[in-house]
Amino acid sequence: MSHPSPITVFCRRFAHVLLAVAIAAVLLIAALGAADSAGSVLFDRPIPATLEITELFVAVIIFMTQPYVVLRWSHISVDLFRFERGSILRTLRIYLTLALSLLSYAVIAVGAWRSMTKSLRLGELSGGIVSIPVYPFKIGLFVGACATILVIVLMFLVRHDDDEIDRGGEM
Amino acid sequence: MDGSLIGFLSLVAVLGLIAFGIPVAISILSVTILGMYALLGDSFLFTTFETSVWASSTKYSFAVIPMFILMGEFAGGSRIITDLYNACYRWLGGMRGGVYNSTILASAGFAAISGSTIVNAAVFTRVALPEIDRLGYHRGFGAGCIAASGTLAAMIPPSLTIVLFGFLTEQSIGGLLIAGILPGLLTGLMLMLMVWISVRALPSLAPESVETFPLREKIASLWDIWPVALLATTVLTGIYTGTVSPSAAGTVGAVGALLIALIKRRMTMEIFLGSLKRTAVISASLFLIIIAGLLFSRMLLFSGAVSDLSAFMNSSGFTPFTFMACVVIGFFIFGMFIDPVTMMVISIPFLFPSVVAMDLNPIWFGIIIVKLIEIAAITPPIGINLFAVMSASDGKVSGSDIFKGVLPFVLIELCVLGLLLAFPIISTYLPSQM
Repeated sequence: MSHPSPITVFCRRFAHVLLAVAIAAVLLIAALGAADSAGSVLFDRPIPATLEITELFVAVIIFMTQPYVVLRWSHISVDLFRFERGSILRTLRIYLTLALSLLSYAVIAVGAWRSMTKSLRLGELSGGIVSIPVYPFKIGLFVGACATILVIVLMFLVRHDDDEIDRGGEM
Repeated sequence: MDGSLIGFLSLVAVLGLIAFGIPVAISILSVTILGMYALLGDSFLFTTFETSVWASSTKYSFAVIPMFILMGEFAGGSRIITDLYNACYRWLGGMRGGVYNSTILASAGFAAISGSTIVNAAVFTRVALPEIDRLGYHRGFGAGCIAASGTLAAMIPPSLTIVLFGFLTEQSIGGLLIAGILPGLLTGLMLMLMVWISVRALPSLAPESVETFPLREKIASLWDIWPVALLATTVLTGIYTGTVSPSAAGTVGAVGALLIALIKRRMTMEIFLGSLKRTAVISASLFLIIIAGLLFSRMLLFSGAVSDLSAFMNSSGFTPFTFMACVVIGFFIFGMFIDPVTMMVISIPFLFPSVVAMDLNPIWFGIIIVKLIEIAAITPPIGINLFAVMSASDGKVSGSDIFKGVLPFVLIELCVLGLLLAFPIISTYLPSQM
């Protein structure tokens, strides 16, 4: 088995780093939300800005995980037809998936870029009792979309792992 | 090209791509992008993605999804299900067909802390199927029972399917979740009744000899499940009374499940990190479908396809009865081939405006849709829960075994659907008391 190229290794590691950020966001939302609920119900002392922080970190979960989801073929799909390995239809499905994914994430990235630059220019802050800078999270959305595009481009170039593809699509 | 035509062609294109095996979110997103571009040009397309993707991703109510998934992951990973199943079997194992009914009851209990039908079916296959084999029960019927009772997670809160419906229709998530309680309990009872009748009508389904347990052992088994009962009660009571939002209840549930696992000394670093990782991956996949669905519905609105469909139904004399009949038949047929989440995301933008126009109760309609999705999840050939059971059984359950075994459960689910259609109060009573 040939060794993966440095760019392949870099993409995989980058996807894992972003996944780790998303996992931290899951933990943060759980801990903060539970502490806020306990504080509100038991002591009538809610934690300020829980709502705003939760909202912003939900976006982190969604977009920081996308490169990993694409890399592992973990998007939800319907296995109505099973194509033989190496068949034309199977190859067509793989490349059509990658092409449409590229289109989708590219448009998301363009939207994220416009949103991010506007947010940076205005120094956008979240509403509520505690003002939180929004632009780092919008940068995160843009980084997540770009990293996903990088992964898709890489997947166009390297040979696909059929076992990985077969495992994908299941929740 | 006419806007409505682009809208309807988009729907056909989405269905075609999904059927070909393109990921659901990518199918919907790419068709939406092309549809928006064709209808309104690139400026509108990029402006929509600039504002809508961010706005859709940063909703507080969205936090409910990762938190409900995390709660189920922690609970599932720490063998809470085994405790539940053992307790139910201690109480019901003495009846003929007790293994089946224990599975249904334990599955309903786990559904109260987990929102995923697939997780429910897969985990119970590993717990209950060996018992079904050990005691000489009918494997196909047992597998069908596991698949069918797994769908209870779609109805009993915290249900991800109900949350998804709430997002797509902008209805109260709390009200919808609470509305699922009575239909979920009714389904569980009907499934148990069906087992009771079946094992008497067809003695080959269950051996005559049964395992009985002394009362002391039965009571002792309850000690193991009180934390689960406490957790489910806390989450549901919080949502029902409005003390906490569904998202906050989800965070309490997730942390509570973690604490239970830690107290029981069943939480390892591997389970902990694996649960967090799966939560992030499943949430990200689901969220992208939801965002795609919201953008798709916006594109359909601009195309005029939705208003044209409503106008067509008005001019054709569609009554609420004929409309619901078409929805039921359509979901039943398409449910055989398309997975539940996909079916909901692509159909609700078309259907829901008509529901509002006909003045149907949106909560009742939501529960009917969830019930249809439950049925779709166990209807061959593409019943997603059937595959979950087959996959988790490591080859012990074949397609023909489970396809035959699940049929009685599909029939009883159709009876429950009939009851829910005939008596909307089953779905609307609890939300009306909130």
